[in-house]
Amino acid sequence: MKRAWREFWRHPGATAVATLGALVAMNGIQVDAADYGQFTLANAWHRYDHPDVFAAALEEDPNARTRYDVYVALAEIAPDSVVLIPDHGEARTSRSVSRLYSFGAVDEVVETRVDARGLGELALSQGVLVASGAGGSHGAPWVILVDGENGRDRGGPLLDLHGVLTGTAATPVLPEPREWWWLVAMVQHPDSDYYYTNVLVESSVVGLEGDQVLP
Amino acid sequence: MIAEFLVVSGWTIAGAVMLHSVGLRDWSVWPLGLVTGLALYFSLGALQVATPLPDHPAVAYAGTLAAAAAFACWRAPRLRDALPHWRSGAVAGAGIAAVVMVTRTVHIVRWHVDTFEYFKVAALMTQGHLDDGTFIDALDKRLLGVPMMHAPALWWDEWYLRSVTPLVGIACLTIVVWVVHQGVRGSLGQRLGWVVPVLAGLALALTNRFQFHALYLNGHLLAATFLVALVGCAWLYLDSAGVPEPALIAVVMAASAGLVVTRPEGGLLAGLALVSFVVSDGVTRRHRALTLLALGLAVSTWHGYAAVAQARLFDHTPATSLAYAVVGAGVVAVGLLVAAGWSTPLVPWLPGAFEASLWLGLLALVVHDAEIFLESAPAILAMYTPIETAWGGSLFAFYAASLLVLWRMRFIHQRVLRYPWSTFVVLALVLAYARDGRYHGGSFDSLIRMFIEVVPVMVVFIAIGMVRGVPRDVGSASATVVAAPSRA
Repeated sequence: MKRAWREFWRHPGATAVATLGALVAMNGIQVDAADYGQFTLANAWHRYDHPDVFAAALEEDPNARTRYDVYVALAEIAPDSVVLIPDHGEARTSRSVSRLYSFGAVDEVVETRVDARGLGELALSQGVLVASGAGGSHGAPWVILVDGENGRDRGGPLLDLHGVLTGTAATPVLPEPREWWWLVAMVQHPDSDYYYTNVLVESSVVGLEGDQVLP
Repeated sequence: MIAEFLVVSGWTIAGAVMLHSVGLRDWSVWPLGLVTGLALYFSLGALQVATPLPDHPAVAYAGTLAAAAAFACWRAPRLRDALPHWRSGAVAGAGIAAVVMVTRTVHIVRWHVDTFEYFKVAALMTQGHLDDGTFIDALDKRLLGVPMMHAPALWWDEWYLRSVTPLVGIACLTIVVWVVHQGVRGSLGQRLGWVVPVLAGLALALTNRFQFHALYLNGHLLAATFLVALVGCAWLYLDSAGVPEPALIAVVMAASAGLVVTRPEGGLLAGLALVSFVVSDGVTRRHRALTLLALGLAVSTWHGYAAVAQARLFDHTPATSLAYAVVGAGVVAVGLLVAAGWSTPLVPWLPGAFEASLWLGLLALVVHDAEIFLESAPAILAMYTPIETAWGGSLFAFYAASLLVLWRMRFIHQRVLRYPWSTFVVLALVLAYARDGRYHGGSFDSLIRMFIEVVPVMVVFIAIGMVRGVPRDVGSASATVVAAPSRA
């Protein structure tokens, strides 16, 4: 036995077999027994069995859900009538533009730089739906709806655009008139850098009337 | 299902035919074929985007098939020299079909918010909107590899190919097994010559994070596969392992070009992997020039386009793109000089100088602005916190075994297999400065995910090092570490 043991270690592949065997054992035990809250063979079917990545997004990730569905909803509500106005001229704005493009929700880009109020006025002057800003890629979203008459923040889970938008946050004031609703999807970055996806929606389009207060 | 099978098979067959035409005759022609086919497809796509050509990925796909056919006609006048044996083809085809069928049936997949960004780029490319300025912020961060890999799904109104990421994972595993087998078979007997490679493959396959990445819609494992193909074939070339050199060089060229357009750090990884290869005496002047030109053209084309496009739309050109473009052009120039017979720049100390400059560069960056380094340090130390990173003890064990081999053993052209992993952390930190971003730790932190890119190379390093290496205290007399004769 002792001789066989010595013979084994003299073989040029002995160290490799022993080391790789140890790695195989260690990784094998970990992958199946340890639960890191991530992927393991044991919970693979539960965590990864989704019919579609976007279905998974809708189910699990409110951030992705908001970003994706806002754009899809926009495209469905008003195909060929969405104008996107980049409000910062920064990279993150172009990210929003491209996202809208990629989901087929935009047919025109107006290059301008305006603040929140200017954006609303511009939108109203053009008589179109407006999407602006950048949708973030981190953190949890809030969505707010502002009454166009007095800029009052409706707060709470607000808009049942397609049953997807929830949340609340403070908001800037929107100019007249009230038939426009300003939908703001605000995404908080972990470093407290706020990104906005602002959408002006004609109230009739989303089925809201006058002073209706959303739940 | 049939469409997806045809698309993935098309990439694989294109690459396999090219490699078979230059002499690769064993089963590795299929996994290496997928790598080569994808790399060629990405390269043609990058060329489309960087030029006035239409951006639609179907053009690159058709171009890949056409280029493979043309290459085969050029290199292998007889049909049987171009086409791999039908039996191995049938096995590979059945394997691809099985993976397509399973992945389209069980829908097992992992995604992350970044996944959406890649799909967005794929959609923009397909719709022809890349040149509208909407893609600008993704030029140097998302690149083209992953979007192009999934873009064909848009042709039949889906967002991604279910099978391609797991197939890339399988290709990665089989390439590791093949490279290790080629590297150790001369030193071990017939049986052990397979035991060690299979154990190496199992050690990788059973790693928690490998399985995660094999189902994760992102580009880390694709980059890892390109890197291990590049480094493995480069080392086998220098080792004179009996694999036809033109085939190895074809893989090295394709993998380095594919790596460049797959991940932001891809150009640096490919450059670091190649620098110790091209300065070796064992490389012919022609092959040295070809590899330099492949890397340089890929880097300068893509990042040059990124620099120009961003300069056109913003007030400044990002330093990263500009630096990449300039260095890429420099590599092209050196490649041309080497082709013309001038080899002075390729001095043996160049790899060491590169490595030292990385460390010195990082030191300078930390002295200039310590914040990014200090905030990223927990992510690096997270290597030792198995639960948080979801790597378990695997990453620590792989690094420990690699360092043990490095400390105790030396083997022929060790540096080629060492560079990618031994320079990785410092490279990642330099990249953090270049992108003005920091690492945060946690299982979805960029650095934690990026580690998978070098782990397959570490597995190859450990397996080959432990078989082929001799203890450092034995001295240099052993024939094991004597370099192959110069072919220059």
